[in-house]
Formats: sequence, C-alpha cells, structure tokens
Amino acid sequence: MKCRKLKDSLSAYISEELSERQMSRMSRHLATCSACAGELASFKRLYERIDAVPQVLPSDDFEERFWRKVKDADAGSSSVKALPLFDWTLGFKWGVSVAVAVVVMVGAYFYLHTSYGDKARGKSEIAEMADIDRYLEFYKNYEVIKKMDFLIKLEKDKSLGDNNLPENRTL
Amino acid sequence: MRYDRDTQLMLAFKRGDKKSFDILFKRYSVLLINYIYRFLGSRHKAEELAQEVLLKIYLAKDTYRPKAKFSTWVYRIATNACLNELRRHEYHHHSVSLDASGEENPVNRKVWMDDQAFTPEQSMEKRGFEEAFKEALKTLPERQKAAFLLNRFQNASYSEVAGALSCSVASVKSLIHRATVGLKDKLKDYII
Ligand SMILES: [Zn+2]
Repeated sequence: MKCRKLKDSLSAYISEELSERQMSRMSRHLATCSACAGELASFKRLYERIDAVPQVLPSDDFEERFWRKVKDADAGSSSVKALPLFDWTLGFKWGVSVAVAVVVMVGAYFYLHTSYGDKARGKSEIAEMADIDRYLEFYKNYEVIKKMDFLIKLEKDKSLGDNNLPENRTL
Repeated sequence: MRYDRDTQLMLAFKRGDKKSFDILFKRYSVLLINYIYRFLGSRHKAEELAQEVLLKIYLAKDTYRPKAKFSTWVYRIATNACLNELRRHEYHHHSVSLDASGEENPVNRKVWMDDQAFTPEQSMEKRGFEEAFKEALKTLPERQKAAFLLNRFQNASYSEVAGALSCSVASVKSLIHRATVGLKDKLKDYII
C-alpha cells in the first residue's frame, strides 16, 4: 500500500515537483525498495527516449503564410471599423445597389400609375410636388450610396498598397 | 508585479514595438508546432493551428492583459484549439481518415524522421520508437496527453500545466502519472 501510493508520485519525483519533505521521504524509500527503484528506472528510461525524439521544424513558408493571414485579418478589421454597414462583403454592397435600384423603379412605377387616381381624388399640386421632391431625395441617397461604394473601394486599394507588415522580419 | 520575459515582450508589442512580436513569433512557432503535432499527430494541422494561435496572440495586442505567465496563456489557447479540432473530427468522422492518409505523404514523414547521425541499425530502431511513441500518444485520454506533452516537451511546470488546463496541481500530478504509466505500458519493448 505504501509502495502504491509512493509510485503515484514517481513522475513528480523525477520532475522535482514534490515538496522537500516528500522528496526526501521518496529518496529514503527508493534506497530500500527495489520494486519502486525499478519502476523509477523504467520511468527515467522512458523519459530519456521521449526527450530524444527530435523536434519538428516549421515549413519554409510558415512565416510568410502567417503574415498573409495577418494582412487578411487587418484588412478585414480596418474597413469594418471605417464603414461597418457597407463593407461586410462585396456581395452585400452589390445587393444594396440592386435593392435601391429596384425600389426606385417600383416607386417610379407606382408614382406614375397612382398619380391619375390621386388627381381624381383631388390631390393638390403641392402634394404632388412634395412627392416628386421625395423621389428626388431618394435618387440623391442612391447617388450617395454609390459614392460610398466608390470610397470604400478606394480605401481598400489604398490599404493594400501600404500594408502594415513589420519590417526586418527574419526567422 | 514582475512579469515573465514573454509577458514583457507582449506588453512591448502592445505599446507598438513590432520587433517584440517577432521574437515571440520565433519562439512560439516551434513550440506550438511541436505541441500541436504531438497532440494531433498531423503535421499539416499542427502548422495550421499554430498559425491560428499565433494570429490570436497578434490580434490580442490591444486587449492583452497579463493574468498568468505568457506561455500558460498561449498553451491554454493551443490546448483549446487542439480539443476543438478533435471534437470537429469526431463529428466529421470521414475527414479524420482523409487526414490520416494525408499524413503518409513523404514530406511529412521526412520531418518526423529526419536524418540523424546514427548507424542504419540505430536509425531503424530510433524510427521504430518514434512511430511507436506517436501511436502510443494517440491512445492517451486528451487531458493526460495535454498535461504530459506540456510538461515533457514544453518544460511547463506542474503549476503552469494546471493554469493551461484550468485544473489543480494535484490533478496535473495525477494526469502526468497516468500518462506515464500508459506510455510505459505501450512502449515497454523500447525501454528494456
Ligand atoms: Zn516501494
């Protein structure tokens, strides 16, 4: 029983991870118990063999691939910070443009088709002017969104140019 | 509070000193690749996950706050990455076999069994042990394996291993002991 308990501490004994008191107690036991001493020797042989297993080294392009990933991550996070809504993906931006165009066309369609009815119901000319103003506003917003697209693209191209890779990297 | 050398480097990196990260990168590339390689048995995965861990370190620049030894923090991230990878592979069982067969390509084997200055017989025997060790590691429960590898190959003390695995030092002692007994049993032919 005593041996069994001490054997559980053999790895820790080899790594000197026991308290001072436990270390000396183990040393005393090992001097008199051949079973535990034998177990200790086999543990040590195992560790020696394992420690001699050579390290693996990184591939030649390991560092290069890493900095590529950093660049991707940096590019992603910086433009997201700049314009969170419009820079999720290129697809999203195209989606916004197409959606706006569709809304404008549908709006124009309904405007033209309902204006007669409005007139029949006696809709005033001032109200019609206001409607036209709203549609013009819509177009202006559409232009603004298009410009934002352009600016985002510009910013992306710029960030690709002056990449933030640290200099003097050697491995 | 006095910080360990690597924590100081990380703090310098946080202040904008990119050279400090380069030093950490060099130091931990090899450590991480070896740890993850032994954990998962796949060289390709080891590089991929090591890069993920290094990227996490890089991106933590602004938010980093030293709570433990730097290496403990890194090994915790790495161990979680390994465990996640194993979970993923348990789920997609098919990809495990694909990866295992990919492991047989000559480039990977070359690194694991790189030429040493031994006679052909010694070399054969050594290769036999390395292969057997690799196989034996696969049979260990995850936490035993993590504790054993961190202690044996990364020179992590029991308390550092405890920090990386979020458990007590007593548990680490038990994990490492059981791992040693398990490996000794599997590798008994090599340690006579
Ligand atoms: Zn005994």
